[in-house]
Amino acid sequence: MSEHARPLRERLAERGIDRVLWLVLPAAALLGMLFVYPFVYGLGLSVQPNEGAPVIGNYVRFFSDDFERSTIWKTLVLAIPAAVVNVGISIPIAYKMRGPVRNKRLITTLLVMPATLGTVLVAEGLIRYFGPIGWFNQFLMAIGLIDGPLRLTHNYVGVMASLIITGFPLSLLLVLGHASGIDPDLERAAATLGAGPSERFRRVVLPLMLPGITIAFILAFVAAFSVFPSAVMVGNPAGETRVISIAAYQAAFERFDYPMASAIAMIMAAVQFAIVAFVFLLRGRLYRGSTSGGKG
Amino acid sequence: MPQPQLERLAIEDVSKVYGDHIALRDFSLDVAGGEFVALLGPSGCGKSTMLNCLAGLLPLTSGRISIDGERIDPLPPERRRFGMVFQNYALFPHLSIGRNVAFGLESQRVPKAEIGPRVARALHQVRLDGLEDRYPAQLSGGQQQRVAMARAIVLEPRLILMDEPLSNLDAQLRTELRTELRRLHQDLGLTTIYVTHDQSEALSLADRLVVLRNGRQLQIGTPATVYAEPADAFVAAFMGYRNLIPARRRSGGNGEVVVELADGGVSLRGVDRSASTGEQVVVAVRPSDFAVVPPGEAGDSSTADNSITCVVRVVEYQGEENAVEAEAPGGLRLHFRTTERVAPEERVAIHVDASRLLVFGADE
Repeated sequence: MSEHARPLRERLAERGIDRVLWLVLPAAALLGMLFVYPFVYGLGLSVQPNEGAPVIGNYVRFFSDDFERSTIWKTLVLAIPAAVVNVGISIPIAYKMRGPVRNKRLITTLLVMPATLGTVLVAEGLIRYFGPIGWFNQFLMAIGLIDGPLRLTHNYVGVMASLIITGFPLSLLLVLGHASGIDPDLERAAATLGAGPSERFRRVVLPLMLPGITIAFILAFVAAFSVFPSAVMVGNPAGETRVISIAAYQAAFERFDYPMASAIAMIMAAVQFAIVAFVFLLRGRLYRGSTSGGKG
Repeated sequence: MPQPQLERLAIEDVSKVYGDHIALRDFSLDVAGGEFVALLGPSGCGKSTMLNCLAGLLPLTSGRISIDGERIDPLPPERRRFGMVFQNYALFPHLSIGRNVAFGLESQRVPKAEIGPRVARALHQVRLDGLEDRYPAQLSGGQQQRVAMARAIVLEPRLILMDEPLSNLDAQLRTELRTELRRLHQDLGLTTIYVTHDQSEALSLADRLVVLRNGRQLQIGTPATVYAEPADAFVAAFMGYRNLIPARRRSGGNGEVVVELADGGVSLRGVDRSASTGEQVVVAVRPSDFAVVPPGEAGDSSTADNSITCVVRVVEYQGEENAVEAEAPGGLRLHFRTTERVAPEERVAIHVDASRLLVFGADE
């Protein structure tokens, strides 16, 4: 029988197109309603500025106003270091904990606990602990290390601390999940081949952990980039921690300029997309396959 | 055959204890250069523990390991210059075959110009020429294990350690690779310690066997010795003596002994291999050493013709012969192999030559 004589349905089925594909529909509809529609709506709104300005008027206004434009940079200098620190701390901990460790469950629970607290509780804790009359400053003053309290909240440091406390658990879980899948025999094999501990980490474990590290970094960055509550509560929302989400909030709910707020949301999405795309581009050049050394 | 790189590997009284579990107890072994020694035993017998201690992947609890008088047990694995082949291959999945084989050479700072030719030669030795640019996931299990061997031999290690390297392969590939291993060993004169639970693998590959159980060495000897003269009932069971029958010693002397099977009143003559003269003994017979007595010649379980009458229960057709499970008086299960056609529920008498019936002490 020639290729064309076979029924269309059979040929489509070979390419994975059959009735089962209808099952994708509910998920596709949900995604459409939750993501695609608001995005398209927001994009449309952003190019319909108030007061009959030109189509890209909101974008021009955002980028020509230094107070607004600087929010991109203020957010990036929070989000990128926070993501780097969270993932950076996760790597050695995950490396140590990937094998059998005593009380692993307890340790993991303790490390992951902060994620369950929520930003508001963490912010309150930070103020009580690191604030001007918090225990930390009182302790440092009591032992005579400092004369006046250190300013650790309501500025960049406070927001960074909050981002690390709430973001680290997620990073650790992601990196640990990936590292646990690395066959311990690979490191043993590397040892018998003459590689010392640091060489084993550099040439075997780290390359195999990198895909997990990449994903953890991306998620940590995206989560930190949309920081809002802690930037207000433990930051300085009028100054150094006026992040881009605050700019969007003020446009929408203080000035009721929805088109401008939509434009800021679009800019936010574009910046995140650019960073994520850049990281994926780097990742594409790295090994991505199995983390076991053969049949297990 | 090339000269081996070591003259004598001495393992002295090595023990490994985990909490209150003794994984290995006073293991001692002298290995001559170029020798192929197999550590044989069921899982949990301590054979892999010993191998990992040799590789430096596990610290010893006590004892010492030395090569030509130089102590190596305090050295970390990366400084022992051994090659190791793992059961699950343990190839680096993110590196090409060429980079996998080159890994050790790069670690040991071998000049770049030398690495390429040495990798090619090692791959040639395991018959994988030209696969340098593939990745482990693109190879079959057998090919992956060959790469693992190439990765170990490219370093020209003084000792090769193999941890059940053939266990993950299917039966046909296993036999093929077994021959390959033996050939590599002969061609390169590599001193090899090989861990396995498969007696046929150990018998066919090794110059010497060490049989282990519960962390103890039960017997050390050439394959022929261990096969023909197992030291105790456990080693016998491992060497294919599938029938292990509890019995009582009745009389004996000069290496011969007459035993009475514990449940049935049958008496048999056999070779006395027990260390003591205790009454409780275990009789060991290989299934292939029983022969069906032609009907009419059968005397009922007489000592003179050394036979047992039993009822056939299960017959497994295995091509050239049948594997039979039969029930002797007293519910005793016996296994034998025969080319005769027998059917379930048939009564047969099976004979065993007195020289093929080994008698061990029951508590040894």
